[in-house]
Amino acid sequence: MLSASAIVAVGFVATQTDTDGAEFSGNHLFYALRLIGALLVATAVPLLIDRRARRSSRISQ
Amino acid sequence: MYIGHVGAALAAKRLRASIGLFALLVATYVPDWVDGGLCLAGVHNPEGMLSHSIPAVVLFALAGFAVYALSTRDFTAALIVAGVIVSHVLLDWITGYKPTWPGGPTIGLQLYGHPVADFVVEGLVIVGGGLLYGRTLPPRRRPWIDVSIMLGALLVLQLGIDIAHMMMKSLPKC
Repeated sequence: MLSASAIVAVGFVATQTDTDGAEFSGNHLFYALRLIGALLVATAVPLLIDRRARRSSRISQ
Repeated sequence: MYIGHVGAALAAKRLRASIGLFALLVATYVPDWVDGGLCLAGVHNPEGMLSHSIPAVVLFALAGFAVYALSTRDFTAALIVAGVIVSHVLLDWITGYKPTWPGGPTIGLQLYGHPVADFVVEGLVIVGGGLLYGRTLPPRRRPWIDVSIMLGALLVLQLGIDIAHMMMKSLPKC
């Protein structure tokens, strides 16, 4: 099942991907890093608050 | 949807408290992480076809289910992780505009052009998820403090994004 899915995925990616000689402009890099930075913040903020909440709950008990 | 996805992860924590929040947060953003990776690799991903279309998200959900089930042997939890991955595209159809399948229509309410409406919708998802998450926390004297900090931080992040949408004509993802 998974290998069939993988084959379908590879075919799907091959038909959709257009590397275009991979022109990688400064803007492109900025957008990529901005997206990754935003994802890191959106993951780290709730995670740190959760850690703090569970730790302080243990202490206050 | 931006920070609203965290609401889905927080709500899922209520379904199965044994699932680590980190796993749920990664799951809820899988299509966006794929977007980021493809963008960094310089791969052309037309309108998120490789990351946000139905076949792509189904594939990510299957992979997420397999990885979580193999590493924990908890199939119910793995199903929840897969559901969180699928929730990404469902929520994106409310606020964004995403492709369905190759050659298929692009659908969504595209609320990013209406930042106030976007904030209201994302805020509702965040608050709903946050309230459910609050019930997974151990009992303490003032339990509302933890939930308030979580909700406050997430709503401030979302507000920042919606203000950025108001000030800039477009915020290209890649």
